[in-house]
This record gives sequence, structure tokens and C-alpha cells, in this order.
Amino acid sequence: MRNGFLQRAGATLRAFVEPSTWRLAWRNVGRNGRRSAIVLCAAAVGVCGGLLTMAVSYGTALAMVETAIATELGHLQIHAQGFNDDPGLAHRLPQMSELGGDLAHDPAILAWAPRLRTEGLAYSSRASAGTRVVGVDPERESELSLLERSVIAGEYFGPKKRRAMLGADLAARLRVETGDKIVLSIQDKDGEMVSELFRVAGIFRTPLPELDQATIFVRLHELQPILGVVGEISETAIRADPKSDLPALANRVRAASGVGTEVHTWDQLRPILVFLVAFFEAQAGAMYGAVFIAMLFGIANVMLMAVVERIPEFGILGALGMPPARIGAMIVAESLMLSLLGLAVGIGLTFAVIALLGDGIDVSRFTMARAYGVGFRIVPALRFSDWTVPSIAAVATAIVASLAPVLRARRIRPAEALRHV
Amino acid sequence: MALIEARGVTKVYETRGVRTDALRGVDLDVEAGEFTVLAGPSGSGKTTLLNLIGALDTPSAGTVCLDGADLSLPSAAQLADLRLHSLGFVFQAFNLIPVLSARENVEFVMDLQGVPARERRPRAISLLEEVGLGALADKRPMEMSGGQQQRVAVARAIAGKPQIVLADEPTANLDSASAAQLLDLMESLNRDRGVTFLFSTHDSRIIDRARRTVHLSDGLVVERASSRAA
Repeated sequence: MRNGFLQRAGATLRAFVEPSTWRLAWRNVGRNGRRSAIVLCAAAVGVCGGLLTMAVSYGTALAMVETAIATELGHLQIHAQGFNDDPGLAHRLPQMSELGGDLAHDPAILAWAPRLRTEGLAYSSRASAGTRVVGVDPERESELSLLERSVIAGEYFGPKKRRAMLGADLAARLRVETGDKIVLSIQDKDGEMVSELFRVAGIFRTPLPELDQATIFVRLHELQPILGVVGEISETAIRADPKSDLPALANRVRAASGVGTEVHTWDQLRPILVFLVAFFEAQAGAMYGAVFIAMLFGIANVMLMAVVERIPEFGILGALGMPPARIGAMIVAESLMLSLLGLAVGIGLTFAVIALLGDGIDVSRFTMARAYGVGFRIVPALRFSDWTVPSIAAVATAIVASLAPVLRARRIRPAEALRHV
Repeated sequence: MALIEARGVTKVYETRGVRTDALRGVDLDVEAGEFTVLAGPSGSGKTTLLNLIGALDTPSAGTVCLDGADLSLPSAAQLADLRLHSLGFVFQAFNLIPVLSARENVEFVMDLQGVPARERRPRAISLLEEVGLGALADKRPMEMSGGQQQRVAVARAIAGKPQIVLADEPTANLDSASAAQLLDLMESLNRDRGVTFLFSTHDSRIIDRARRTVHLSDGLVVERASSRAA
């Protein structure tokens, strides 16, 4: 029985490579043009819809990661050991003028910046709010993050001393504008409360709402003496070349940073991002799967109808000596042609839609997009696997969809079929 | 040994519990080069017998041999192979493949036989010219008349160089002129090329031209007659 199956499979495969099998299949696809066109369109729209879902999902995931990296995280961060478990002033690093070891000339490192982090209260003449206070080197920070490009009012620190940059939402809560005074009330390294006056130099709006709602940036060298940590910082953030091997770079940074430090990549610092990316991909994959299942039933239905309609013809082909395996191969070829044509048209449509979208979809009006840290635009993007998986799935769909029609055709006996003529 | 030897052939159909004895112990020999008719009214069993001789169906009992080989072969694929290489068919409804041109229809059997394209194409054209349709080689069946389609079917039937051509009511859908043309063609193929023809028909125009007529009635051979001299 197994040998019989293998023989039939072998005969079908041999029949499959006969050019005349494909020629006949192609003519058969064309003979009922309207029906073939409907299946083709359904497959094309399905593939296009699936691919666009994947593209938007992947674009969203990319935007989330890019936003997080560009606004705050960087690709890597160096901290004193224990900082991630207790992110306070207790864990500090010595401030360096350059990165240690060979890192200063490492081509994979595009920018780096020191930061000093603490928390406190900000007061204006009208309101107060809890806030994160981050001391930064404005020049280095400008190379590393979006902060300078996110200024929507005022200027980026400006030339005068004791200037602060406030998130737009925080500025609204404190009801301050550029030039207004605020008082920062924070604890120094010994736990003593200190209050210092700053003026609002600029107001920023980034794609990350939590940054806009509760963050004040001041100059690093002004914050250090207030906290009593001159020459010390909380972290060094590093922006890497996106094409570089990040784990390898992390290892080099670890080796150069020495004892008492820990180096984390962006995904280790924000595991929620990894989860969200996986979630978006799974969601898109599930939808794509549903599209292909619908396509499978559609093509199977059409092929079955085409077989039932052509029972007499299969009888004639059989009478003329066409082997059952070749009849089966012809049906599979018809199904494959419909699927692959649908796939090709669907991919073409996807290219066209992505090209039409140009620099992406404006999502700045959507609160959810801000809440997920997506940013202001989603640029649909597809990876190589996004093209190959549907191509393989289309072939598999065509073969599976043609199984029932092939079995039906194989059961047709020429004498019985000819009675239908 | 006869080209076709049928011995004690019976065929029983059972549909929803109703038994129909289509053939009830038929013996028949057909020699190579014959131009023979199976005649009889509708339901006499002539098409059933033709189907059994054509390896399109299997007998309920008895044997059918083609050139000494029993047609009770085990698999559908082997039967298809036998039909491909030894038998040619002409059907009442022409039954050309609608998506292929006249030439491609004639080439089709040769293609299945594995004849290379460079050989089968000129052979198909030559056969179409022989049946008087060289000018219509690139026409599809729906662009041809019934008579023309049936002549293409004859060309297709002999394209694979079969041992015998089985023709089931080949003139039933043709007008008198087309039927006469077709029969002239078949007669000339029989006479000039030695093609063996076995017809199933109740059309007197064929019966009149047959060299031998086998009459069937209710699944039995009731009369054998040589109506014309060879």
C-alpha cells in the first residue's frame, strides 16, 4: 500500500515537470476567466492585506524600539553595579571625558552621553509636581538623543546658567512658560533636602509621553554640586551603529568598563519592548494565518467546482490515455497558478500601497500610539521573511487546496465520466 | 489469433439496488484490418461492449483480450497506458479538448506517448491535411463545425498509431453530408493505411458501409453478417 502511494506520488511528480501539463493547466485557468479572476483577486487582496498588516505591525514595533532608543535608552547603558535594582544616587560611576579602552575609536559607537538621575519636586508660582531630574551634557546629549530636536518652545538650554528643559505636559501641569522660574526640591547624596532655582529655557515634546509628563533636564555640571556628587554620574548611554553586532559591542563595552559596572542592552533595560514587539508580530501572524486559511477554502472550493464541471472531460482525457497522476498534476498546477498569480498581484499591490504611504502613516493624533511610545509616524516595513513566508504559504495553500479535487478526479472512471457527456 | 477476443463477457450494473444486465455472455472476435459495426437498438449493450474492448470499463465476468493480452490489468495507470498505445477513440460528441487547437488536440496523444515536439508537430499537421483540415490547424474546437471537429477527432484517434480505433456513434451528431465525408475518410484510412475500425452504431449509413456487422439485442449477440466484400 505504501509502495503504491509512493509510486503514485512519483508518477505525479514526473507528470508535474512535463511542460504540456502546465500548458494545459494554464489554458484551463484561462477558460473560465471570470471565476479565475475572482479567485485571483481574492488571493491578491488577502495577500496584500496580510502583508500590509505585517508591514504596519513591524513598522509599529520598529517605531517603538527606535523611539525608546532615540529618546532615552540608547542602544546600551553603563551603570554602577546594582543601579538597575535601586536606581538612586547610591550607585554612581566616575565621570569620564572619553570612553575607556579602545571604545573611543570603536566604529560601532556613534555617540555617547553621561547622565545623572534623581527624583524630586518641582514648584512654580502656581503649582507643584513630582519629577525626574536628569543632568545632561547638552552637547553630547544632542548627539545621542532627540532632546534638542524635540524642543517646541524656547531654546535648547541656551547660553545662560541654571536653565532647565521641561516636558510639555509637565510645563502645562506647573503652568509655566519659557523664562518662568521653577524651584527644584531634591535630596542630595546624604539625604538632605536642597532647593535650587532654575528658569525654563525650553519646552520639549518627544514621542514618549512619560518623558514629557515628568522629566526636567538640567546641565550635568550644575546638578552634580547640588547633589554633592561632583565628577560622578548615574549612567553612560551609548548610541550604536544600527548595523553593528550589538551583543558583541556590549561585550567590548563590558570589558572596557571594568569591575563594579554593568552594561545592558536596550532589550535588557526594557523587556516590555521585546514583549510588545513579539505580541505585534504574533497578532499580525495570526491574521495572516487566517487570510491563508480563507484563501485555502476559496481555492479548494473553486478547484472542486472546476473538477465537478469537467468530469466528462477528465473521462475523455483518461480514455485518451492520460494517466491519473498526470490529471492530478494538472489540477495541482491550475491551483498553483491561481495562488502564485494571486501572490504576485498581492505583492505588487503591497509595494504600491507602501510606496503611496511614502514617509509613513501619521499617528500623532492617536493617544494609543503615544501611550505605546510609537512616536508620531509609523513607516510600514517588511523583512525578507515577510516575503518568503507568504510565498511558501501560497504554494502550500495551493497544494492543500487541490488535494480534495485531485482525489475526486482520480476516482473518476472514464466509462462513467463519458456517460455525463 | 484475432486482434480482439471477447469470451463470455457479461456486464452487470447495479444502481440503487436495481440490477441491469447490459451484456449477457458475449463472444466476439475482431481481426486486424476489419471495418466492423456493432449494431443494435439503444440499450442493446453495444456501447458497453465497446467500453470493455476499449479498457474503459471492466467486465463483470468473461475476458477481453487485445492482441492476446488480457485487459483485466490491475491498475488504472496501466489501463491508461494500454489505451494510450493501443487504442484510438472517436466519440459521438466529438470530445475534443476545448482549450487546445486542432493541431494541439492531434498532438496531445503523441505528447502523452513521449513523442518529441519536433516530430509530433509535423505529424499532426500531416494528419490534419490527410483529413482535409490543414487550414484549420490553429482553430479551437468551438471555431469548427461538428463535421470538422469529428474529423479532427479521427486524426487524433490515429495519431498514436493504435491497433484499433473504436468509434461510438461517430455520425450521430452530424448532418448527412458531414457523415458521408467522415465515413469516406474512415474507409480510406482502413483501406489505404490498414487502420482497424470497430463501430458502435444504429446508423444505417455506417452499417451499409461495414464489411461485417454484429447485431446485439438485450445484451446478446443475435446475428453476425458480412454485408460487404472486403
